[in-house]
Amino acid sequence: MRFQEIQEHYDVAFRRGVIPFLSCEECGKSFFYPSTRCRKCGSARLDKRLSAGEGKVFAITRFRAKDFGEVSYGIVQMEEGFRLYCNFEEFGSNLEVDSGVKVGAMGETFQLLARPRTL
Amino acid sequence: MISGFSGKIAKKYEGSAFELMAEVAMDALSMAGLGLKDVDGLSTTFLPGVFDGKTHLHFQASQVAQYLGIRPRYLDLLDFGGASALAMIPRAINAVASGLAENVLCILGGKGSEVRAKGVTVDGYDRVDKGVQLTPFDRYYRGGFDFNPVTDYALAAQRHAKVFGTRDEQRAMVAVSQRKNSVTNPYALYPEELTVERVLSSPVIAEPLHLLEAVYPVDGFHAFVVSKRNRTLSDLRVEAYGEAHWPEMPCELDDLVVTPALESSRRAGFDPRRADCLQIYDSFTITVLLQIEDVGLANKGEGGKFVESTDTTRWGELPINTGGGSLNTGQPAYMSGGVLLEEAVRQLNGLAGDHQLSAVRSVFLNGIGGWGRNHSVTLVLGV
Ligand SMILES: [Zn+2]
Repeated sequence: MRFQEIQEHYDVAFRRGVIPFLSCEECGKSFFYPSTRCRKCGSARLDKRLSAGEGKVFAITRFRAKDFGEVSYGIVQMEEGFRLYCNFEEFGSNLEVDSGVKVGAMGETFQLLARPRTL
Repeated sequence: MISGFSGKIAKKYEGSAFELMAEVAMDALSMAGLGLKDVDGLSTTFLPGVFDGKTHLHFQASQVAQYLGIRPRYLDLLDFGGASALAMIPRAINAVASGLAENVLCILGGKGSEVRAKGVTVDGYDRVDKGVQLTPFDRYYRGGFDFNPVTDYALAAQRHAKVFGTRDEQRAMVAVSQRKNSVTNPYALYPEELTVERVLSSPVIAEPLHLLEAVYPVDGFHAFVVSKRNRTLSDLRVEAYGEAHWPEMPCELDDLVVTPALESSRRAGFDPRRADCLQIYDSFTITVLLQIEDVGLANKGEGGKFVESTDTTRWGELPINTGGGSLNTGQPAYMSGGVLLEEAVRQLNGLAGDHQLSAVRSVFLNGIGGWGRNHSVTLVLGV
């Protein structure tokens, strides 16, 4: 698979607000950060998939950014088996490790955003 | 082996990075009884912004050699961030041993103040220069806020707290002990004593990390001369060595709470308890805690208990960062490796002044560097 093809799949998914990922047809490894080769076994037989967006907080931190105020940022473990970095939109809820979240993509910059699953 | 060394650190150096670099190089050579004409090997490193705010130096190793007026027959440019300094030494020793050079000048540093003034760190330089790429897939990675060394280590600290129950007070102990060690170090930035309460009442920079748990980026250079013939210093030897490079995005590692120090220290195969003191990379308190576990001083998850129950000051049973580390000197050009290495060489030569330990025969060093925690170098120096 060419990188261009993967990029098109990712861009289309993001425009729909959905999280894309790749799954290796040889070894079953799934990953988000794109490559034309499986990072586990080197195979080029990759399946372009769309995530259901369901996951759990793997790690989270909060800090104040000069121009953006309070920022919540971390890593989500997705149900399909891969992890990604994203921002959290917390609506005042106190997300912690293992809290359920739903991850989507936003805007022109493809900002990844996770919201508490219960809301 | 190491025949001369020098280090200069300033909160803000008024002048060019090249100027300070040359000053430090000349000091190290002068200690070695050498002149620039004797230098036939050069090893250096670079991070964006630290040479007078420039994103990139074109053929940087050549520019360093050009500025110093040397024509090396051995030339090396390492790219491991904070771990580069430690990795330079065995490479330079190999170059000398195999006849590639007689005197290798290892030099690293720059001006952290130039990067600080732009409101970024070296790992977020893409925010001020669109020509900088952090990963092969920035387009899908840099949309949000924000991965930088502070948030990266904050996530590791948060996960360590959650998985193992590590408390803020335990991490703060690292800063408190190192401050005790720094009191008589002429490089130290902060004269006042530190308590756990003071660390925890400093502002939170990214949960759970506090300001006094993080290094402050400063200006500075370190130089070490590795020579075939050594006239002035004790003859040091590398007792053990290992490096490990884990290129993964931290989120794609099995967990955030392990570092490549696990592997580099295994490769070195030296029990750190056998050393007279340790110099452990200290970009943040959590960095020290993670390495205490990974180099085998404590089981994984028990670093917090370890620092509570072990006196790691220079009066204690296992002295760590005997000059106070870069948490107290500041971090020159976003790399602490030079600070660790200078302190080790001083201790082994009896040149640590008021903070000299007695009878130092071996020092265990571990450096961490790169984007996230990509690189680890374990180096044991003995006399
Ligand atoms: Zn595979």
